[in-house]
Amino acid sequence: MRAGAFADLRVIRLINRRFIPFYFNTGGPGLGHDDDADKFIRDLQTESKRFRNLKVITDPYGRRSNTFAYFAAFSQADGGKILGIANGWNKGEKRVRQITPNKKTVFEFLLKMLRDNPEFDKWTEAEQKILTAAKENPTNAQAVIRAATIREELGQYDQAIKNYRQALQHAKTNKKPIAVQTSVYAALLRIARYKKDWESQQKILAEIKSAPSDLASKMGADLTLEQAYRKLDEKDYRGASKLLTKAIKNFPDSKRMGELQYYAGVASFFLKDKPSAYYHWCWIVENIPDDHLARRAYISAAHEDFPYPNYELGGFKTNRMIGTRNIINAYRRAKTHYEKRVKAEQEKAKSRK
Amino acid sequence: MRIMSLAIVAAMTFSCSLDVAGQTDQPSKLKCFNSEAIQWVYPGKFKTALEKAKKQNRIILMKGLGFGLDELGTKCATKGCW
Repeated sequence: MRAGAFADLRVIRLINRRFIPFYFNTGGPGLGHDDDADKFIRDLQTESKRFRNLKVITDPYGRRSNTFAYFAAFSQADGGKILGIANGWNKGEKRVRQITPNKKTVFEFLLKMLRDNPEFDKWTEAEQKILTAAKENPTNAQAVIRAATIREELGQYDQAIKNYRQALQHAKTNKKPIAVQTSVYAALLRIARYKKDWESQQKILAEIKSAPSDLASKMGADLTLEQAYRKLDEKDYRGASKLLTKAIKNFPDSKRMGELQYYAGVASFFLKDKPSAYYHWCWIVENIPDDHLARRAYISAAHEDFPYPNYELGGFKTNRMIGTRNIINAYRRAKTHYEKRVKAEQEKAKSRK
Repeated sequence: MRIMSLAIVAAMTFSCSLDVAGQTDQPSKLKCFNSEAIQWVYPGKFKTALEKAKKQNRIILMKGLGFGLDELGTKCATKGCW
């Protein structure tokens, strides 16, 4: 999950805003044990069969979950109570069954935990101040954007869009710095992506392109990246690859370089150009290991020996029995492609001088 | 068979902790990155997680791991072995 849901910005921001996340070794070899966490879980299992039963799921392919590994939500009230478990919960009439839940499943699970347990979803004092400031100063674009961001992170997209649009209107009317407009448009594009509302994306892009002060050129990698996400969703991998490789060259200082490189790798993977895929993923691991996508890039580079579904790569997984050493060796093999290309680029640069 | 299985699992854990393939224990060479990450409470600090949840009135999320945490993994959720 570290390479999947836990590397997703939507999940990261929601967890940090509304939950207390904790991880530990449930009893196997290695470090990271926690006696207090063990007791908490043991007491739950003694008191109620629910957690024990919830831990075991069988997915549509007949695979059973590992009962020692789970991602679950608990209330600390009354000595502890299980609220739900991410790899087996009821989504409407369907039961979600994913041995390793993907980023969308995890995000929706977290929202459900808040909806079903609203006593744990109250505004903090800081949030209340921001929301009040936005209400009392509706023409203050920055105040309204702060409120919109909170709504967005909590998955309240309709309200967030309303707030962002309000901020945009006032930013335009009051001739605020262009950075205010670009940040709002980036947010609107992001929300359109989350909802896979490509029609809205089209309209937002048209607004940006027709805006004065050459707004489009001030949006950096945001504009290209969001268009690339759509191309990936529509399986236009060649189109995505073209956009992303151009953006990597044009925006070398972008804070979104991790996303640019990672998804350039994904596009290359689906175009069956594995050397290029390995190059892009290893580039992240070797150059920006602190990026939120570093782990995802590492695991994708090692995908041929990874036993769990890689949802970014169409659910690819190996069926062989492998261990951690296989994964490390798979990354090493991928890295040889990266090193070959870096060497070739260096030699090309030398020969030009 | 059980002893064999445990030995295999222990070997895998040991081999993982020996070598993180230089993946993530080096700092970034460039500045073009986004280091946003989940603010986990680390193993050994469950009481802290409980206190935070009580004080802030929040749900605790628990990620149980079957095996394989190394020293770096217990101090930094985005690095080391999990």
